[in-house]
Amino acid sequence: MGMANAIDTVAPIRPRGIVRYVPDDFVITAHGDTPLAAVEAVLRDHGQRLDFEPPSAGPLLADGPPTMATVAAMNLAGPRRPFSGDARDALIGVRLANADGDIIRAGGRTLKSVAGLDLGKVVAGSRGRFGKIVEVTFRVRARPETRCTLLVADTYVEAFPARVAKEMLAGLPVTGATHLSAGVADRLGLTPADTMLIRLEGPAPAVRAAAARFGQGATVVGNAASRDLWRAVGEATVMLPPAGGALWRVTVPPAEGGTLAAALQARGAETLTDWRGGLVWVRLDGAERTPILDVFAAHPSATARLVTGPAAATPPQAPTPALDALSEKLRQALDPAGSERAGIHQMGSAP
Amino acid sequence: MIAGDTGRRTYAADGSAGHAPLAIVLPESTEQVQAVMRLCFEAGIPVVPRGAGTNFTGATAPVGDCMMVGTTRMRRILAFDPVGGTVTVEAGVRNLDVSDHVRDAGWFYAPDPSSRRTCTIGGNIGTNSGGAGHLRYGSTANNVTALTAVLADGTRLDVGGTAYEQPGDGIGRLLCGSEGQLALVTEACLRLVPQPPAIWGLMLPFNDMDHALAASAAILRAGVLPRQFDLLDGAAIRLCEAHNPCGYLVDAAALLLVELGGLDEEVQAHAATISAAAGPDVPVRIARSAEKAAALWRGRSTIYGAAARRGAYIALDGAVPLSTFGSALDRIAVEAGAHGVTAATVLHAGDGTVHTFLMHAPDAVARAQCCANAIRKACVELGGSVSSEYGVGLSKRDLMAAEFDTIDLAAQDRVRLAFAGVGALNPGKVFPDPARTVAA
Repeated sequence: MGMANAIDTVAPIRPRGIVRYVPDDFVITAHGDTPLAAVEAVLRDHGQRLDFEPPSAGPLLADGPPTMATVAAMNLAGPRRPFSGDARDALIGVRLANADGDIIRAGGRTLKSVAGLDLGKVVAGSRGRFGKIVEVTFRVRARPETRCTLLVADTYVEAFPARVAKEMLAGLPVTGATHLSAGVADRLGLTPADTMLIRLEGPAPAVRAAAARFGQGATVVGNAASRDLWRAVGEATVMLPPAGGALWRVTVPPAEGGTLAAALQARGAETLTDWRGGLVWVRLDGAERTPILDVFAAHPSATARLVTGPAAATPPQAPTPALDALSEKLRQALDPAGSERAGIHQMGSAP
Repeated sequence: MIAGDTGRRTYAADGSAGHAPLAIVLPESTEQVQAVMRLCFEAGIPVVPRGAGTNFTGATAPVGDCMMVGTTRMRRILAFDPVGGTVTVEAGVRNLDVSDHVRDAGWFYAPDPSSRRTCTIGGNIGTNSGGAGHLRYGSTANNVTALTAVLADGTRLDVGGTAYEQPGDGIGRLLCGSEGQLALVTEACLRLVPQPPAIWGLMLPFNDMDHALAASAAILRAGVLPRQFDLLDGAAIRLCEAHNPCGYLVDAAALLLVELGGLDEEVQAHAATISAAAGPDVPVRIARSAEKAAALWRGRSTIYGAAARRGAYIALDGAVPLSTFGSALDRIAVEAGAHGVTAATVLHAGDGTVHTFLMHAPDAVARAQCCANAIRKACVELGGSVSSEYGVGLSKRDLMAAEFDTIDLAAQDRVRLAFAGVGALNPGKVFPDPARTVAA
């Protein structure tokens, strides 16, 4: 071959904070302190995106807009989580600075590699415990041609996970499936009857055909409103309670999310059930008066965490001694001179 | 337990060569694995885990005096959640048996290595297997939600869960691709994917490789995410067609094979996008059913058999950034010519995998190995990796220094020691020995 591949000759794109980006590689490498918003803007200019849809605000991001290191360290993911994975799934390379001054590189910048230990998998979600994340490489994907959001009325939350599974198994290009209790729908400016949100993405004919399956019971949301709506679902700011209230974030097997949300609603809680049942945000105004921890306890496969609220509302966590011991050994292996708190400061807001 | 000479020799080799372990234990439960591991740990005997032994790298080959622990008697499917789309299996369950188990409910298990009829889920986890569907569905690490594993000292470790974001998720994913050096996996919960209602195949012959590469890039840029997306060079086309005739044009310079899945409207739209990306001069053959699509892929699917029938060969699994495929093919041609071997290459055009088959005379093994290593190093120089699919094992351990700095390898080794201690689990694999040099 004389000229090799024509796209070989394309120079990498390097705006501030981006280390390397060749759009046809479907990979982007950025400094850890690069704001997520800056990376998303560059990708948007080239018809691409981070498929896992990391939120850029909300109760989990109290320190402000996230950096790319924060995206990795907190393993962020938005409503597309059950369909496209999370930050950990998309993280293909990382550079980690430890207290010895070593920069450890793990993974690479190809979409696939199985050489050596993929330390990025354990760095993702580590909250900076294993060192400061100084560079990340994420897989990116092309933006689909069309998006359509449907509001489907009168869907009981108990039936919601099975309904979504049925549509997925029919081959519909579902990339978002969320159920809102009446109060949450109201705060998002939707009529309380519009309880299930479905997002379809793909080529226009496929999205049209998929939307038609929902028939008269579904209302199509306009494009601009749709974008705002899914951002609001991902950020979950609408779930923050007034003073004296509590907010829990519960991850649960998707099939159980409906019954869990129904039980919580019966105790007076508002719920936003995302990830086709796998994530339930629970808001309870006046948390001291209505204990609901027993509902969490009835779902041993779920993990409930108190995001904000009185200490008494903290769900008990099952002890994981083997895991904790291993995690500490990992910290010692990756950041031998670091302390338990090393790296925690990188969780701050973007500069 | 198998301790006789004949039985031990059976387990001496996997897809590569090896020598017999001290004995082979075939436990039937996590508790039995714990008991064996504890005994070996106390006696200072290294343990080598083994699934079906289909790997090409010596990853499950015994090294020194060791106990082999096989998972072939751990073949139970433990749970299936048809709404959540997860299935929990023991490590010895065969890859394809998972999809067979959930097929009637409309799901399938996506990671699909070529050896899927025989390889085990435990082995898939060890090498983080992907296969041709990686572009759309990811590799094993992207499709595992929970693991039960046994550490070198016999400690049971449960990580992840059927819910998203469970304690230990990251450690579970780290075990994927760790080649049995961190823990021995006994059970796994796997995430399933809906079967698409329509599957189409497309075959596009090109007169020159540059055109084929440009078309592949345009297809991905347009947002098409195929289930399979392979690009064969001329030598690979002729190799496949000679072994298993499927109507591949043997005088073409490149052949793009695509498998699409989704609603009828989705595959129709994407087929139109692909035709437009290729341009009017490329005759596109479209197979409008799963069966007909499989027939288009049959030649490609049997390329390992085709290479074996031709004689001695080495199969490569490098990885490069997608935009450097052209340079990678140029380097392969140069190295094959310089080493006097015949190269046939298949690219997974969506994920960067470079499968080159180096066919050589029976007495030219060393020369072919030098050529293979030169190509692997070229992949690294282009920004890629020495291994995209098979793993490192014994055969590529000395090339790790080409891909990673000393600091990076030392950190990986410290993590390995944190899990398993010195030499307790699958010793001698993956990490380079400074005393050895690489043939190149």
